[in-house]
Formats: sequence, structure tokens, C-alpha cells
Amino acid sequence: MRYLLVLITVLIVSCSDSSQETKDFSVNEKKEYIKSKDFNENKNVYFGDLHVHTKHSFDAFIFGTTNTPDDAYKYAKGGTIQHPLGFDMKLRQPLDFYAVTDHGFFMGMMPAWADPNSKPGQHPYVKTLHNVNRKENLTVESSPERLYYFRELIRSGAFAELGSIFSIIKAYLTNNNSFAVDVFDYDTHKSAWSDVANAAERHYEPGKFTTFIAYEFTASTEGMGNLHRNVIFGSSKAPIRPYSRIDSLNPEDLWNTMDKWRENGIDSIAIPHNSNGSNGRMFEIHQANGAPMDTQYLNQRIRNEPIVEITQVKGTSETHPLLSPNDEWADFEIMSTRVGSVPPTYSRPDGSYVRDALKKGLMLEQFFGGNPYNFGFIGSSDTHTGASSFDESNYFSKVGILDGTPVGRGSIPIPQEQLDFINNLPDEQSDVYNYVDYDGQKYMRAGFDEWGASGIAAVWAEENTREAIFSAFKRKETYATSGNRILLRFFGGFDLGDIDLNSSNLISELYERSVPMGGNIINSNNSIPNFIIWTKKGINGAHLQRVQIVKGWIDDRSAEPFEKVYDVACSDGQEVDQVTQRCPDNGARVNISDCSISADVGDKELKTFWSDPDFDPDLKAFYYVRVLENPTCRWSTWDALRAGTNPRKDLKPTIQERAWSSPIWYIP
Amino acid sequence: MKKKIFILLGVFIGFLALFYGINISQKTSIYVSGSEIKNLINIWEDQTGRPPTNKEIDMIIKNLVNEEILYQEALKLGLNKNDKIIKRRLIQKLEFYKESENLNKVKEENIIEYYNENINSYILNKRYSFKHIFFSDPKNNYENIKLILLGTENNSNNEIGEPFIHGDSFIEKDKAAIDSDFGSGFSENIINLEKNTWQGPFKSIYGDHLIYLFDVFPEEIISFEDAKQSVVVNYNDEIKSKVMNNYIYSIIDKYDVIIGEYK
Repeated sequence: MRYLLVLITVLIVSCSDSSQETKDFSVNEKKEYIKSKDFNENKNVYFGDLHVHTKHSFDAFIFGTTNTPDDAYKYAKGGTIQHPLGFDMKLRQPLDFYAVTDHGFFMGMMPAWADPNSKPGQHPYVKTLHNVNRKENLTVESSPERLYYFRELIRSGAFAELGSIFSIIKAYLTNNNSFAVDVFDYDTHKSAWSDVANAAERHYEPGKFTTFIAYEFTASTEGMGNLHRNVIFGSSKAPIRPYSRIDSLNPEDLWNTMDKWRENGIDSIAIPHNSNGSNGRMFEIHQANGAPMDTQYLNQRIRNEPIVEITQVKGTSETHPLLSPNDEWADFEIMSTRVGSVPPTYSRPDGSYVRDALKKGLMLEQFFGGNPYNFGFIGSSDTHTGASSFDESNYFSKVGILDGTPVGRGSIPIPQEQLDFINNLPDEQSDVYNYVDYDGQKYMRAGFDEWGASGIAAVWAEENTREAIFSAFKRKETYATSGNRILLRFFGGFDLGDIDLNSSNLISELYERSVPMGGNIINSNNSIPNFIIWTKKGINGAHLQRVQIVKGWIDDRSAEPFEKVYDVACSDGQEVDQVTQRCPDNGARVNISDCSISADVGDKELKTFWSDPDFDPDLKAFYYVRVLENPTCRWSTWDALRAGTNPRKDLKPTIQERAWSSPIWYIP
Repeated sequence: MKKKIFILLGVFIGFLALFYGINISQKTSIYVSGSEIKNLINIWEDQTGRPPTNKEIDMIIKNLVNEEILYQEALKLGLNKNDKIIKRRLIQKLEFYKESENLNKVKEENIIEYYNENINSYILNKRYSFKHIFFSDPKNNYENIKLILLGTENNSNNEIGEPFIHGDSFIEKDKAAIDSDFGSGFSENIINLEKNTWQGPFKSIYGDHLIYLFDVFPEEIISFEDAKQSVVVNYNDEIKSKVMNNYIYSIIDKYDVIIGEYK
């Protein structure tokens, strides 16, 4: 009888759902809350990065990164850390908040597999990885070997091969599929997750620097359609392990898990990213199983995903020239392929870009009574070196050894010596590491040339604390920039025409009488909505060229979606042409031979009142702001300039850095 | 006494052996540790889902012995020399050993000692509280404006100047924070200002500013309690980067370092 009781107890304990076991990762005693010195009811702007990988991510490690979460936070606070190729990385300006978001699946396993003395390192699948990041192997020449290992690891089925029957039963009883995977070691995994969470706690300095416990849920569709999300926790409490793609490839299961965490007092949000590489799967008009959306789905999605990442190194996901043919600025840092596809495979734009999703959201609301795409915007980097790379003139991209040099990222021709090396690679490595001819020169063909030095998450919050910033994420009082620290305020409401834009009480008055970015305005006697936009250049950015409003709406009967881009403020005192809705050319130019830009052209600040000239009170609509700087050299041009070569003709020599506000929705 | 006799006898035989080249024993002991065998048995179980049979255990041990014999032979032939992988692996092991040896030693007194040694890193910089009035376009009547403002702290009716996106009042900002909002070098204008009077204009990257400095907070040391979290982080970081350098420094005298010709 006693043995039976013990057995039952063991079974009950064993059956607990490990994804729901939680822990407080605090490393310090909780102190009494004291309002920060710069607490501001009218809110301050804070800049950060919510997408950062370190050595605990399988791909970051295989591409040479040995930086830890501690190193990443040190970098964000203004410190210097090393790139895998040995050079120093330091931000021009420290950030205000940062989140290390290592891949949840196999978190921490790669360093263990690479250690020949560790238990996980004994598995036959991983022996080729032994000592891959020994110091003398952190070289550009190791790139093909790394790429080959990476592909083979994915192809070999190592991630899917099941272990013993006991491990499968254990996986079943604990609702933890990782146990069933043969190459997996739970202790290693949990220890890496603890390192991620504890580092976030160690580096959190309320009032000064905010961190978040976070990880990446790296799901994808069968055809490599990207469904990645970053899961950000709102406090020091989090599960004892990340709920990852090994648990499920369906984001709906992630939301169910997040809802359960929330019921147990642990709040989190998921931030979709790289929708551009999703092949149309990120923003669909039906559920993952093909069923029509229902109220439960609509509400659950927006409850868990209030903001999306509109821009990052792997391209910008605002819109695509095929989706927005009348938007002359729609071709900004477009990545045309699916994330991680080998060979690089085209990603279908429809369903892959956020402006398109905002329009679909209005349509879904019309049919099903809820809008799953009622989201705000942030930018982040997705760096895989622990260090964000925002600066066009000092860009080191994101995947370590592979794209840490201009040759590696395809911006300058391959030198003969390196070409000979590539030509002599074994077939299996030259399959993944090869070059292409452009204009009589040979360049690396890796797709890194489509990537950009982007982006930053900006929030308006009362103070620099986890609570205040997390709350800003949830109410979508956020915006994104492509790397510079443009300042941007955006408010919407009715009857705002009498507001004095030069009043120093402007912001408090706007908070009283209107809603900030991320909010909804509801029909008020069919009045025309008014908007106030105030933007300033960042201290290291170029002057501002123009401010635009992007409007999307749907027909109230057919639900057909439309969009229009209005210039609403022009630099240099110029007026918007009322017919074309465009500012005249302000004459700003870039000298490609030295990357110098026109002096004294453009504005340091633009502030305007705008009223929708095409407003129809019966039509659901959204409005968001896009601010454009004067053109400056793209990173690839800077690379060529420093190397003394000509910029590649098929790459854009310049870009216009920009900021995107979260939308304000009009509800009829 | 007997022990000493045996030792002397041993030394004597050793000398004879050395001198006459007597081959006392060619055998080298091979020791396979029990914990290593247990570890391999565990891995076997994890891999196959069952414990190994006695025959399989014999095979595991035989493999270990064979491995060790081959290793010893390789050492005798000097195959370990100039092998970069072996060299790197040994260094890595030593690094882990030295790091963990020191990390295990982290105690409150170590942290306090580190804090005291690096007290300059735990100083709250001099801070300034000020108000400003912003002009995006330069004006030519700043002296008149200052006269209007004379004796007042507030531009209360906000009739003068324009709003600034970061606000018009800044509390306890150090130089870096000021430069981050106004542009590099702007803080230099503020640090020597007289208090409680409107002064300027001073140029930022955005335009002109009249400044009213109303409080200055001197540099102050952050108490150990308040700084402790950062001290621990910095201490561990320091250990990681310095411990090996210190270790090498402490033993380098034992070596004659000769660099071969390579140019």
C-alpha cells in the first residue's frame, strides 16, 4: 500500500506541466518603489533593442559568438565588447532598455555540444562541432565550414531524432517535448535559460536602465515561412524553461501558454518579427488550421501581440513595392527571401508586411467583430553577436564571422586569394558558400547584401522602469526607427484646431484632449479627425526631409482595402502640393565619393497639425506617421568607400533613415 | 628507520639503473577511474534506454583501456607537441579551472574590497537641474528677453520661446544625459553657469537656449548597498578578463620565452 501511494505521488508530481512551472529570477531584495527623478506624467522617450542573441542561441554560437547575456547588457549600457572576429563593438550612445532573446529551442545546447568533454558533446550527431569556437578557428576562413555544419545540423534530423522510450514517456508526462529529443540535455538547457533570466535581473537598474527576461519562439511553417516571435516578460517572474518550437510550431499554442502564465500572475507579450520572410504566413486571414477566425482567436491574438517588429537587420516589413505601388518610399531595405531558406527562396509579399496586415485587420473586424492586427510598431536589431549594429558608417551586420567583413556581406569584391580559397572548397561546402558575378566583379552570394543597419524600439513612458516601459508596449505608445534616434510624438482626436502648437503645455493638453500613438478615436458627430505630429532629428542623424501620414481604410460594404500616403509637413519652409500630396524636392544630395551630405538643407524639427481631407465618417481607418530624413550613404557604400572600391551598382547607394509611429485607429 | 633504509636503497638502485642503463621495468601503469566508467555507463543508458550487460560493460572498459594505451603511446612518440587542438583544449581547461576557482571564492568581503579599490567607478557624477527656453530660429533680442525674465524663475505664461520635445525642465542630469538630449558638448555651457538667473543664449544642435540653472548636485560616492548589484556584475566581469592575465603574470618567470624567427 505504501509503495502504491509513493508511486501515485511520483506520477502526480511527474505529470506536472513543466511549461507552467514558474520561478522568480530576482537576484536582489525587492526594494520599495521610489518614483524616478525624471518621472514625467507627460512621458519621456526611451530607446532600446528587444531582439538580441548571444552564445546561447544555436545559430549565434555556430557563427562564432561567445558573448554572454552579461556581455550583451554591458554593451547596451555603453561598454565595449568583442566581435567574434576580434574587433571592438561599442554604441555611439548607450541604450535605455535591452532584452536578450536567445532562441528558446535548444537554448544553450550548442556550446555544450561543442565541448568534447560534456555529456551532450558525446552524441554522434554533434561531434563535428567539437571546439568549433576555439580561438584560432574564429576566422573568416572557417565560414564555409560553419555554414555547412549549420545546414547539416538542420538537415541531419538531429533536432528531431527521438531518444529512448523512457525519455519519450518523460516528455509526455511533463509536457516537455525536449526530453524526447535524443541530443537534448535538460540540465544544460535550464542552466542557459537561468543565465539569460539572471543576467536580465543582474543588469536591471530601475530609473536608469531596464532589462527584460525574454526569449525567441522560433516557429516556422513547412516551407520555411517565418513565424518567429520574441516573448517578453513584464517582471522578474518567468517559467522555468522557455516554451519553444519543440513544444509547438503553432503560435496559437504559444498564446494559450501565455494566457495560462497570465492567469498565474505572469504577464508577457509576444512580438512577431521578420514577417517579410514569412511567405505570406505571418498575417493571414484565417487560423493556422485553415478555419475562419473567430472572436476567441481575434481577441487572443491581440491580447498577446500588441506590438510587432516593423524593421530589423533582416529587412524592413512596413510594406513592399508590389503591395504599395503608389508609395515611392515602399522599397526600403526589402529582404526578398524566406528566413533561413537554403537556397534562398522568394517570400510572397501578401500577408508578409504590416501595412497590409493593418488593412486586413480592418476587414476582419468588419466580418468577425474583432481586429487581430490592431498592433503598434517597434524596431529592433536581431543581432546574433550580443551587440546591435545601427550605424550605417560602422556596420557589422548580425551573424558574426559570416558577415563581419565587407567581403562576407557582399559589399566589396572578393580578393583573389579568398577567391582561390572558395574555388578549392570541397563540394559540400561550396554548395553553401559561393559567389556571384555583378558588373564583372565577384561578390559573396549570401543574401546579406539585402540586410540593413536597423532598427530601434522607442517608447513613451513615465520613467525608465520595467513596469512603465512594459505598460507602454501594451498600450502601443511605441514607435520604430531604422537606427537613428528620431524623436516622434503623434496624437489624434477631434476639434484640435484651436491647440497652440507653440504652447509649452502642448503635450499635457494633447494627453487631455486626444489619444497618443497606439490609441483609438471613436466617431464623434461625424467630425473630421485631427492629428498633431511633432518630430525632431536624432542627435547623430541627418536633417529631416518630410513627415507623412499613411492612411488605410476599407469600403464599408465590400470591405475592399485602400491606402494612401500624404506628405503633411515639408522641410525648408516648403508647402505640400495639394494635388500630388507631395513636398517639393528639398535639394538634399549625397556625394557618393566621400558620403558627405548637403549642409543646411532639411529641418531639425517639424511640427504640424493635419486634418484628413478625404475623411468619410462611415469608414474604418488607421493612420500612422512616417518621418523621413534626408538621404545618407547606405552601409554598403560606406564599406566600398573605406575599401577604395566602387559601390555595387545593383545596390542602392543611399537610404533615407526613417521613423514609423504606431497607428491611431478611427472607429466609425 | 626501516623506511629511510628502503628509500636509500631505492635511490641507490635508481642510480645504478641510470648509470648502467639497467632495464628495471618497461611497464607503465594504466589507471581507469571508477567515476569515468560510471559516467560512460550512464551515457549508455541514456542512449539506449537500458543498462549495459556485463559483456557490454567489459567492452566499455576495454575501449577505455585501449584509448589510454594509445594515448600513452602517442605521448611517448611526442605526437601531442605542436598540435594546436590539444594545446587550445588544455588552455581552455585551465581557463575554466582558474575562472571557476575564483568565481567560487566570491564572498561579500571580496566584493567590498573590489568596490573600495574601484570606488571611482561608483561615483554619481555632478548633476544639474535647470530650465530652458528654446528658440528654433536665432533671435536678436536675447538681452531684452532676459530683462523681461529678470527676477523670475518661470517662463510661466510660456509667452517666450517654443516648446522643446524633451520638455522645459531637467532635474539632476549629468553631462552625458544633457548631451544626449541637446547634442554633444552642450553640457559644457551649463557646468559653469551662475545659479538662479537666466543666461545665454547657448547653441544646441536644435537651436538657441536661454538657461536658468537652479540647482547643482556635487559628485558623490554611491554607497556600497546601492551599488552592490553593479559591483557584483563588474567584479565577475573583471575576474573573467583579468584572472588569466594575473595567472600568466604570476608564472611567466618560470619560463624562458624564446620567439622563433618568422619574418
